[in-house]
Amino acid sequence: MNLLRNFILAITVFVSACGGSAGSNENSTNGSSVADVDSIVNIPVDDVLPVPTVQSTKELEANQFFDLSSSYELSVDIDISKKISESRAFLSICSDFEVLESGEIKIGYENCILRTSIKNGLYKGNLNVTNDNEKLIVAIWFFDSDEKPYIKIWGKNDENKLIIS
Amino acid sequence: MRIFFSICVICNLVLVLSSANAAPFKECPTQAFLGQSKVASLYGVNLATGYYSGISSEMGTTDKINALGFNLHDSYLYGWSYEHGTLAKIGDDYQVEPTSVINITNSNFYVGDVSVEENAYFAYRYGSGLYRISLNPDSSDYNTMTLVPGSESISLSIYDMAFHPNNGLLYAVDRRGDLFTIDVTTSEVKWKSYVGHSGTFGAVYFDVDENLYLSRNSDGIIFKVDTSTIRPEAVEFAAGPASSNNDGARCAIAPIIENVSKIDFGDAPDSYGSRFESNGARHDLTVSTLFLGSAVDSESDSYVHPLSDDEIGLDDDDGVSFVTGMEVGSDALLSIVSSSAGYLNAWIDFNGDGDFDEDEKIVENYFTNDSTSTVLYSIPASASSGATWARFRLSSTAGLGAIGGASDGEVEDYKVEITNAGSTTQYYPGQNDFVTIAYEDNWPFLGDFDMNDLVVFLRTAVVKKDNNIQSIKIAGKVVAVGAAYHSGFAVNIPGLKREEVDEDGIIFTINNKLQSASPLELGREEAIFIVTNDVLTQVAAGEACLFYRTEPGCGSDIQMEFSMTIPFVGLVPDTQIPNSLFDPFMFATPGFYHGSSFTVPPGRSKEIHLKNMAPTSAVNTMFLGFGDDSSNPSVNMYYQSENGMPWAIELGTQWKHPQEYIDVVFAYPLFERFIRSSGEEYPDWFMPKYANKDLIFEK
Repeated sequence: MNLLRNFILAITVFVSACGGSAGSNENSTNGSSVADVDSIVNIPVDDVLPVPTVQSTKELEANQFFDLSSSYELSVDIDISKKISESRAFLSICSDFEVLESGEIKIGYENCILRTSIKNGLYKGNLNVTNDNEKLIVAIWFFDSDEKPYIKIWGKNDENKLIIS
Repeated sequence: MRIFFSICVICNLVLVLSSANAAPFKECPTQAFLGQSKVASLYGVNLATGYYSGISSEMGTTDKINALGFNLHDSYLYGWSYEHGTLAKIGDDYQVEPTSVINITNSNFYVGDVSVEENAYFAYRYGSGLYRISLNPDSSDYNTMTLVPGSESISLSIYDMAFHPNNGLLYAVDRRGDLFTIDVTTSEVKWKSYVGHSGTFGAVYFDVDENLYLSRNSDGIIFKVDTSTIRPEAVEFAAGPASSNNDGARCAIAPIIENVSKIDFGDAPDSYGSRFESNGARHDLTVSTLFLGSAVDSESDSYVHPLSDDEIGLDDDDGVSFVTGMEVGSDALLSIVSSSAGYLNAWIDFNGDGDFDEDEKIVENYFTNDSTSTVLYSIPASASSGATWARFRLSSTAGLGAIGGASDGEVEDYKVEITNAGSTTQYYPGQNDFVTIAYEDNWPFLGDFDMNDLVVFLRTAVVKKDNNIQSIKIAGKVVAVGAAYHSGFAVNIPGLKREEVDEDGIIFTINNKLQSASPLELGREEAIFIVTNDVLTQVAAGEACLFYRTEPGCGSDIQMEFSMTIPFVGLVPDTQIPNSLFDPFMFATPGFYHGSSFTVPPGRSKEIHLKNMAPTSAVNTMFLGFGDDSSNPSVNMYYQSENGMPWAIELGTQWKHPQEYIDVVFAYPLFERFIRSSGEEYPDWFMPKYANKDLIFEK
């Protein structure tokens, strides 16, 4: 079975910022900028964990409609149709990635939240994302040419929207 | 690849001056000896992988050595020295020492071996016959060459022969691939079988388990022939060294595997060929500079699924990224990282039949360098959607099959998912991650809030196409049971009706074993999937422990894993099932006591859900609002105390739960801030970095 049609891409992908609700117009694959993710407001980890002010969890009071969910709903709206020449592509939104010192991103495609074919660079949908994921990686690969993959890092924002346009 | 051990070269330089009385080998060697080259060089071959390395390139002779045999009676190698025109003895210095053979013929021999049953060397030459030379110094015919009566009529085109470890017969395969036995006392030749492969098998060896190994000169492939069968066949076993001039010898009573600590195996289920006894894919790591990804490690044998090569030792299955999904009838992309130049071959079990067929090869001899490469391949239209396995093999040897040994490189196996074309898969929380659901079982009364009465890891996958859900997958593990009550665990899919489920199509496994009983609960309108009616039938506390994985010193492996793939009958719009976690809940096992407040065992009428998740129709709603519970269905408030505290919580990771009797607010003090701020502060309070490590359960 002659299935192999190989081509080689240099996958040294450099990251540009995307975070924030409005998204960025930069295409990660044509630049040489290094990671510049929107800063995310993190509550610092206490060096020493606080001592609870209660003797038991049963003494705590929670709002009756606060469901203690450990996830948030993310609205995804991607439209890169004007930036690409190929219609067939594959979109992954994943939580496992690492930005190396070189600026190259190592992506764990085996632990993604969304995997989908897309046409004309378009995707809309909602995802449930656990609270510990304050950054996600968006990767779009193209099938029919040597067009470089489109890679973006998304940082959590107040609106919980991931918009790339 | 020929790598000579420098230490042997040095010792040979010394020993060449004094080789007259070399010592015998100290033990029956498990490696095979391979003589090659016009001027004799000796190699050691690990038949398990085909890996070979130079033992000596300076054997004290100017010509080749052939017809090698290992004599287990005196632990010397013997072979025919072309320089001296006689039988030569080789000791542990690997120097050729010619012997004085009486009655010698004028011929050289390239087919020979030493008998296992008697201390004698046998050599064969086409058109001349089979000759015996006694190697027993106490024998009257010591060192005398005699023609075995009747053997002059033997006409076999063979290039090496080997003695069987216990039946006294010689075995040889001719160039057409026919296996013969030769009786060295009667000269009787018997045809055993056509082994299925032809060629010049210049080196043949036996192991103690009656397996005959054939090394083919042209390509170095080592075949294994189980001679204990009625019609023995040759199977490709390892990729060894090719040579125009080969001869092999081996101590026939030694087992075959050696140096297993330097072999990398795959970890797919054994039906794919993973374990050594299954001729599994394996790579010698003696020279481990060629591998996929950033590392490779060795195993004593395959850790076949559900064990994993990566959970034992290094996580070294890191060289292949499936940068796109695998959709039926579509192209797909792989990203491959290799440490240095080599040939990649890869397979995907497209038809899901548990093996890698030849037409399932997706990458063939793809030459990759010390870089990252992207490879385009195709998923055939005939491929079955669902979970299957892929295998990737990198080696300096081209043309590897899906099984068998290789002298270098690495094998990486991956469990992969094939989906229908144009589909979308949403994972929660991720393909290979889990959230945790932790329960207190004393509802409707408050418990001790150690949140470990039942702890379950859970993940879901929703496969959609054109905004309709095609199937749902739910998988999980029962991680802890810190309870005496018998309880079950189930998942309700809110928004889905029972009649919308293709019940016959459900694939339900526990601990990777297919379950015959349907998990879809009878008698409900909702689609409720019962994972187990009683977790205590699935897991057990350790010795001297009261509970399963909650007490210090009571660690054990996770004893229950489950998976359900749930197809639907018709179109189910994705707006109908918006929640990725669905509704996991625990319930009282029917027939079992659940506290003095229940006058009879409550069974399915008692459920415990996440806060503000409604119970199913199985529940006796009279219990809602009873005891410490302040559920108020009229405003969609469920399973919360007067203080708004729950009996079940979801944690967004594989949570390290509190030890027995340890309140969660002490194990995770920031839980208080999370509660008081209604989730605004520390939404990730459950992460290990926030744990009071002395108070959480550690295996």
